Amino acid sequence: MSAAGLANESLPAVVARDLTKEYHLGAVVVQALRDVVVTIPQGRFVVLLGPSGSGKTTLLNLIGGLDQPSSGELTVMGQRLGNLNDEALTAYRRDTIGFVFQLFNLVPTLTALENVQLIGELVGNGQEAAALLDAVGLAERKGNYPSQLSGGEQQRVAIARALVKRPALLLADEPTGALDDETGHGVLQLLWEQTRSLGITVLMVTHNEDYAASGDLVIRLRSGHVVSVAEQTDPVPPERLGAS
Amino acid sequence: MARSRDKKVSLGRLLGKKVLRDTGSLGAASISLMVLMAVGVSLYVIFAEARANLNASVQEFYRRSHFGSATVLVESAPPSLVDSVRLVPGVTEVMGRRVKDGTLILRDRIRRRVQGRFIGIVPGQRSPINDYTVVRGREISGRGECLVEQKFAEANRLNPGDLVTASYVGQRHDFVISGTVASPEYLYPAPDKESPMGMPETFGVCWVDDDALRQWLGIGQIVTEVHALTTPGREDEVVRTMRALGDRYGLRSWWTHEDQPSARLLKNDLQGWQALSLIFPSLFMFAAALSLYSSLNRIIRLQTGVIGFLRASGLSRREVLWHYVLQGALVTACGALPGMVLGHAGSKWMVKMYVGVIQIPVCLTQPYPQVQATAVFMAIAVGVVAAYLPARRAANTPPAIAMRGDAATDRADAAGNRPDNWLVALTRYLPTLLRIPARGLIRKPSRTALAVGGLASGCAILLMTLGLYVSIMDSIGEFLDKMVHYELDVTLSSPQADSLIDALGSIEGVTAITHSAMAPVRVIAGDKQANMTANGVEAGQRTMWLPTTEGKPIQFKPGELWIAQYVAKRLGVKPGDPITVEWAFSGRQKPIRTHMVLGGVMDVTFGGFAMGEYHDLRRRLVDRAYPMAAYGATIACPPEVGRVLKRRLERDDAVVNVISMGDLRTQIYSSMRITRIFIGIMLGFGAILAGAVLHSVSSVGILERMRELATLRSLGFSAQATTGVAALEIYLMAGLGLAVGFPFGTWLNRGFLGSFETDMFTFRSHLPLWTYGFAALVVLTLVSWSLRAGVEKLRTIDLAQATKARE
Ligand SMILES: Nc1ncnc2c1ncn2[C@@H]1O[C@H](COP(=O)(O)OP(=O)(O)O)[C@@H](O)[C@H]1O
Ligand SMILES: [Mg+2]
Repeated sequence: MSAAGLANESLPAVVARDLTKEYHLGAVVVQALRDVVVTIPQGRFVVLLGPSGSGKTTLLNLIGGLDQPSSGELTVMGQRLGNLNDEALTAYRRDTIGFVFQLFNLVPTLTALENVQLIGELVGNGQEAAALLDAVGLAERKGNYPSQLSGGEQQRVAIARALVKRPALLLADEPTGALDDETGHGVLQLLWEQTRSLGITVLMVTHNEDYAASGDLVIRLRSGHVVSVAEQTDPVPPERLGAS
Repeated sequence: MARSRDKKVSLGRLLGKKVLRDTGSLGAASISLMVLMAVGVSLYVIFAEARANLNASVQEFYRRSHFGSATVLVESAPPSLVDSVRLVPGVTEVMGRRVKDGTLILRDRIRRRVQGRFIGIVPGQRSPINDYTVVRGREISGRGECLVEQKFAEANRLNPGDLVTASYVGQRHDFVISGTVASPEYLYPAPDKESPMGMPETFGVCWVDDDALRQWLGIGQIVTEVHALTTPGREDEVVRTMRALGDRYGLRSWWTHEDQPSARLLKNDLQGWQALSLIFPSLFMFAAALSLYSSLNRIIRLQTGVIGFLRASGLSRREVLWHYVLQGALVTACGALPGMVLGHAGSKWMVKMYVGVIQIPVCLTQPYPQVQATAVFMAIAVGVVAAYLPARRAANTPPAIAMRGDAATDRADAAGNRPDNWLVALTRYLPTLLRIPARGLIRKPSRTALAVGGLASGCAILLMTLGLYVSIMDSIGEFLDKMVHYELDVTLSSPQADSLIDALGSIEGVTAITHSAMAPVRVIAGDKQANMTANGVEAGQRTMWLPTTEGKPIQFKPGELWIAQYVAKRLGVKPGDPITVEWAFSGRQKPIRTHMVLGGVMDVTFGGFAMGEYHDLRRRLVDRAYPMAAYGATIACPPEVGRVLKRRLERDDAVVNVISMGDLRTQIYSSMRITRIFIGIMLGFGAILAGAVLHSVSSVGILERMRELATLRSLGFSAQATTGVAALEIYLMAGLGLAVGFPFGTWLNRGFLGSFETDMFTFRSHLPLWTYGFAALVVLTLVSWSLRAGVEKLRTIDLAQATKARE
């Protein structure tokens, strides 16, 4: 399902109610998330901040349908995730969610273009792959394998690969974490521009406090709790972040 | 949004591309895997197809020449026996003929005497059963001509136009050879069921004019052999009836087409192939499966993040599973297809060679689609099975793994390094640097299993091959070097000829003479029996070394018979047990049997003979069976004296034939040439197997460990210490492989040699220390060789890159 198909603006992208996630490590119980209550409207660029181990990745996993909450309710694009089986979750991930990872996770034996096509064709949108690579500034590198690309370029491919699905919700877990500041900034800028122009809701985890300024919504986590949700009516586009 | 059909096709195309390139990226590992598969498949095709084609060639030759399906041999019967057999239910064709065994005197300079068999034929008339094919020269056209069996002719350099003299109980007749023939009865020229092998040098079959034969031998319209064709499946029943009918005419022997002397030897020979066609391909496919398993595991481990991503993007579990299973099938198919082609070519070559040796005028080398399909099916099945476990692991990759920082987290790592693992605990006593290779073995159990399994298989092939060679050489050596202390083995035409032998005692150089008497017998113990040649030797004889199982010389006593250890075991008799010994051709008309006790057992590989005291055995059996029994002597003397004596004896009418051990030795060792080539090829295969496995394991091992090893180097360890760590792990693996391979190979060797075992013959499975040493040397050499590439890479590594690299 593409974002365009979900033009119902009144429907929130994510609604989490009392979301709790516990990991059991033998006798020890790790509470990765505790009673998280959060609502994310559609079309927003959401920045998720928090120290290491605060539960950011866990929250993304739950929203992305990669993992199941221990308790609580989670609704994404109107779909209740609690009662979906593996097959339905697979379909949900295929049709609703796009992912960008810290470690890119490109298929090493497929070229940049083929990596994007692979996912494009999974959802019946392979023909747009080349145009998307142009859009992320890799027009010249389409035929290259991941090992022939720099980290920043690989992440651009990963973004193109996420966008080719036209996901309603794009989840990015520290997409700049493995990159140097300058490259990371460029990637953020790309992600911001591309999703904004397509109206895709983005949930981006980052360590970088500076990036908070670009979010429509900034959520802060600590020890599994949501400590603040701040709306910013006038976010700073990343291109102007360096200047300030 | 539904995925349309063509979209799915192009998605499949991309995933297919990924499969191909992943396979390519494995490089050496993929290639060695394909080589293993190709060799496994081609070995199966070679053996299975060659066996099928040989069988078909032989059967076709049998069909064309109307090979008899049921036969009885009698002393002498009226032609009415043939008519009676014609009326036996199931019989479709009958033929009676006159056949006599005598002596054939070759007209070469030394006028050698060999065993001759004379078969009466009617010129210009095809035999309805057991027809021959003329391969050189032409049919006989008169009473003075004969046809000879081709292998005998070849071994004795007889050509059409040559003259031979036939002699039967003093009656002589000269024949001119008009041609040589291939006969279905003498593909292996064995005179009777008791013969352990064909004897092309000393057994000559001649087809002569039937009237000439009758006149020469002074016999009337009698028959000595009745052959029948039957409707398939009724051979046993027909032979039973024919035996009953022939019993009153001095039944000498009988057989169905399956235990006909030549056919039985041929069958035994092909039986060994069947064992080979199973053992060898299995070992190779097993190694290929292990290799595939580990390669796929490696791909999947490296691609954990990607798989997580694919799953996160909406690829289903089943799609991921299929993706990797397909990869396994693809790689095996890539190996199997060339293997099939190679195998067919190999089988063609093998059939041609073998047909050339046994000289059948039919040589079929058609492809057997079902054999090839079986081979490819097996290969792909092996590939799918081996790929399934890693593929399932991939399919079960939790998609959340893509999110985790360290995508290469390996559960096996964690499990292997858990402090409560006792194996890991043990490694704590090692120096720090040694803990790395030791734990390397523990934490990648599948890779260790692959290496150990593959090395053990290679090692097993080496041992099995060497074992076969050693056993062959042992049994030859046992006979030629241990048992035989004589130079000449003389067969006499009558017991009266003894005096001729005694006269030789005074000749200078002759150190010992032993008289012997032989008769084919059946040894019966309870309801079990074994056919063999009973051999009487003088009690104090010095020309043969016949040891008891304790290695002491046997003291032969009247009333006692000694047989081979394994035959005794098969008959279920112990020394001291009563046994019945019966002349092999005993019938109701001419029963010759005697009761003896088992004197003891002999530690010998050839079980086709029994030994007793000379005078005792003559009295009990041999003299009673004469002229169907034989007398002879063994003479100990220096080879030069032997050569002179041989010429002298061969000219004498009282002598049937003389075998010189010197000649026999040369003949046996020259026939070993083919065996040596075969052994060499098999050793090569063993080395390929071990090498391919090692190559994939060690190069993968080092590449996989590059980051870890590079880190060690960047921390200050020398290049030498680092490569040492990597190499040590491979050497440890090789050690484990040998530890498993030695017992495995020993066990396989026993089974393999067992497949050659017949009533007549058994190999002792004995692997001397040097065979293990040799196998170990080959494996360790291969290890050093296979390490070279990895070590080179490690030496020239870019540390900054390698410590960061994740893939
Ligand atoms: N699979 C897991 N098993 C056990 N504990 C986990 C697992 N994943 C995360 N955790 C724990 O949950 C907590 C939150 O982790 P995570 O969401 O990854 O934090 P963040 O992404 O904010 O750094 C941490 O204490 C972490 O150790
Ligand atoms: Mg995290």
